[in-house]
Amino acid sequence: MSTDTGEPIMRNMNSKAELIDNVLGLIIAAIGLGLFFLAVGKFIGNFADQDLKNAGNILDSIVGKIDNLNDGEVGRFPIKGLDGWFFVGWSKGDASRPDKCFFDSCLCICKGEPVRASYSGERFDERRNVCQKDGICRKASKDNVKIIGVEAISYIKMPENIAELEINKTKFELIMKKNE
Amino acid sequence: MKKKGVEAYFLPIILLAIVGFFIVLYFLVSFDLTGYSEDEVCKLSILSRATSPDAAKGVVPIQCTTKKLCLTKDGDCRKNFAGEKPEVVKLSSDENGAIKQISKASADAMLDCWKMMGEGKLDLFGGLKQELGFEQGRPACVICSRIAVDNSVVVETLNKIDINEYMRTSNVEGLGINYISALTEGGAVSYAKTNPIEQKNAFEKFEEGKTKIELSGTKEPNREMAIVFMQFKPASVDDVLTNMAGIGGTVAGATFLSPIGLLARPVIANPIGGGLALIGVGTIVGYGMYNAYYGQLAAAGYCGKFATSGKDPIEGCSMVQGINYNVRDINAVCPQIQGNP
Repeated sequence: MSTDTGEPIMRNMNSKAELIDNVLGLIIAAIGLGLFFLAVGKFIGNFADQDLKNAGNILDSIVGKIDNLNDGEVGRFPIKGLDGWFFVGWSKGDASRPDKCFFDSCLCICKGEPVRASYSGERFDERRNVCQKDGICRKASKDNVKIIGVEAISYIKMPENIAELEINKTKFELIMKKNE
Repeated sequence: MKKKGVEAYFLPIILLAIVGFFIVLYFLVSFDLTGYSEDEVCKLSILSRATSPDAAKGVVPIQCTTKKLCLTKDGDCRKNFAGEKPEVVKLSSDENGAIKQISKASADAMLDCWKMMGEGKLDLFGGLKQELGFEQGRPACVICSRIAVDNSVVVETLNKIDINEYMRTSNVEGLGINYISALTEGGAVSYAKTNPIEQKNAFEKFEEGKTKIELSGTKEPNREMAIVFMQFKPASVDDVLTNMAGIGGTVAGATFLSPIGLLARPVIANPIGGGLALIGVGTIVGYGMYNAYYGQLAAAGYCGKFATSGKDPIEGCSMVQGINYNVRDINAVCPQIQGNP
């Protein structure tokens, strides 16, 4: 195997060093990549739930404005929109409200499409499912909530800029609509 | 010996790699934005946005939260900020003192907004769709602040507020220059004197656009103003600057300052359609700015090349302005608003 000059031993040593070098390079590259993706994930993760936080803040602001109205008052408030989200509400007696409303009437801001259209053009109410999955809800101060939207399945689409929300607070119900 | 040599060579590298890994990991794990102030988070997000490639700008949200400032004598801010958490500034009972406080708060908010947004020189709203030509550049905005003066301040006091004059005559704290100079990088220290004929022409030009001019008919001033940063990419930034100069604005290099006067107000280029259009001037003037504390707040801006991470500098215009906080006025200027409410 080996000669007097010892060349194969040297070759063996060199190839071993090369192998270690390569393996080491691979390990460092893997660690580097892992750290890079971790950094990117961490960075995006810090921002990712911001929409949800914004939805919560918008909803808190709406609830605060409702609470500030006296019965019989109508208020019009500019509310910042949230692209891709919609505003909806359910009365206490409405069995179709999401579970996260528990036993109360509620107001929700949810992300997604509130209505699903089939190929035949039939329209399905998706508000409950969407809000249960990707929504944020708050208890409404009145048992009856009426959202006046543009179609039979009523909801208010949040714009990219701001919307004027008209809130009519009566003794027994809340009636809300978006002013164009 | 040879084997030892190999070990001696690789061992420190392995050790260094492991130590380095744990150091970086520690910083990554401890990186948390919740410990930062709102301003720091905003700045960080603005810089991240500006330095991201265009395609990635959409996934780096602007994390600037609208500051809510309630200027009041008796502390009741519920009318404007029910359900929100405003910073309450107690106004002096002396009328002149209150006027100064309101003017300073407004001027500071405008300057802070401008500085926070990189003085308009950062490309914040570019996107892949726009790059690929699927979508024409739409103006995009960030509402930096909302400032409300509550009902404890009487209308007569509001009528005496002149924020423009305050920005001309008062120095920015710690800078030793007035607000106008700070907004225009020393390009202007005072407002241009507007020519009433030019104003009329500018207004008539606007009328030719068949847009309804509706001056404020309200008897009561809007008590809430928004300091809005807007950015848009017109077909030609030179046209915007020329147009600005044409209505009596001060143009110094790439910065501009709108004229103050009766009606003529900043020209906003409408990039949709490619040409210049005086969009919403009537709305902004008559209903928004004209009515904002009855103050006709001036606008400061920048039109030129944006600082960008890409090879080719992109041109655009940025502007900061006080606008009445209502749906009509804000939406007339801002088709899309980014940042946190």
